[in-house]
Amino acid sequence: MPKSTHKRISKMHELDSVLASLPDPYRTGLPASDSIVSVTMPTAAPMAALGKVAAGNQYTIIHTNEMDEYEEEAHDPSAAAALATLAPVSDNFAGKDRKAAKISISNAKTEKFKDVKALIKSLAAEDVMKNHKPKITTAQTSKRVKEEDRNIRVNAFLYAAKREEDNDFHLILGLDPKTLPDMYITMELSGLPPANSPAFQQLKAARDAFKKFFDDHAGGQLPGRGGYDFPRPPVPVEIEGSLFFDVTHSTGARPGPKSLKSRMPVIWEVHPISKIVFKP
Amino acid sequence: MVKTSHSKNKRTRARGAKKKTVIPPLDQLETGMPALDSITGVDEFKKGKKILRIIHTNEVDEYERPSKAKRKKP
Repeated sequence: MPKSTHKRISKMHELDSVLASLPDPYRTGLPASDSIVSVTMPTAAPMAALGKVAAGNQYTIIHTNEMDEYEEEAHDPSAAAALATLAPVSDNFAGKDRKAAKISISNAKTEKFKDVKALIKSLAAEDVMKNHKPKITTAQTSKRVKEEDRNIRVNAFLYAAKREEDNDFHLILGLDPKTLPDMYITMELSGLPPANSPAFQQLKAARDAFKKFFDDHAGGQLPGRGGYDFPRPPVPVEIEGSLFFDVTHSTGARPGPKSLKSRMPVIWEVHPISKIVFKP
Repeated sequence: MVKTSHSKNKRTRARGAKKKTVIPPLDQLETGMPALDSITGVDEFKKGKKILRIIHTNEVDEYERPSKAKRKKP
């Protein structure tokens, strides 16, 4: 349940007026209006009035039914709505494809990038990765290939987030909303590996930082499985992590919410995110 | 004598070779472009010096009924 700093609005007539009144001079990255199912917004009462120390900006969260198009529920709003009601059952990684890469952190030196545009420019071409020798397989044991074996640090803005069936959080990160044209890339907070894994502590700390942001600044409700949640305004963050080419989606529908995916030029990801610092 | 690129071009044209027009690749990040995975084909044609493209997609208004072939049988 959202904390008392925020309230959730889902009645259509209220939603329209709430969306119209968002203090949002930069509309970059907003979802399509017909995909919005509800909005969690800060209440008028400031945190100080509740006897708490104000912890920076409070964010409005726009809940949508936008899913990655390759998901079965993406074309069935009622199935998406059913997913939205599911409570998270675990933080543990529950996926199979390329598990070895997704829950491990590269040992490479960290490269710094000023924004996601610079990061995207540094990535190997999709054709090179699709035709990679040796071939990148989706097997659980499939480790990072040479082009993926990099660690990065980048400043970005969080535009959208969604929980996946494998307990990853898909984060859609982009440029400063004042920068046009807009551009986005997927970065993932992996589900946790076994506790004795070398990456466990870092991956857990990253997930904890993500949860704390939603607790302190967004009403306490984490993004669920029913569709992408869009924080407004987009949240400034610094991210560290290892690179990953999402070969699973190199054919067919590409990842991303439908409102943003036309500006997602690559299926490269930062996966896993090993550190995320929110700067609200 | 050193041949400059200018003289080289002149010679090429004198032999009757056509100047090639380089068609730039699609810029996916141009404002208003459709999602990459919705593109089903591209037609290109020239009008004077301009190159025009029609990008065909499978994007439809969401309220439209799926085509008969895609409809599930009851």
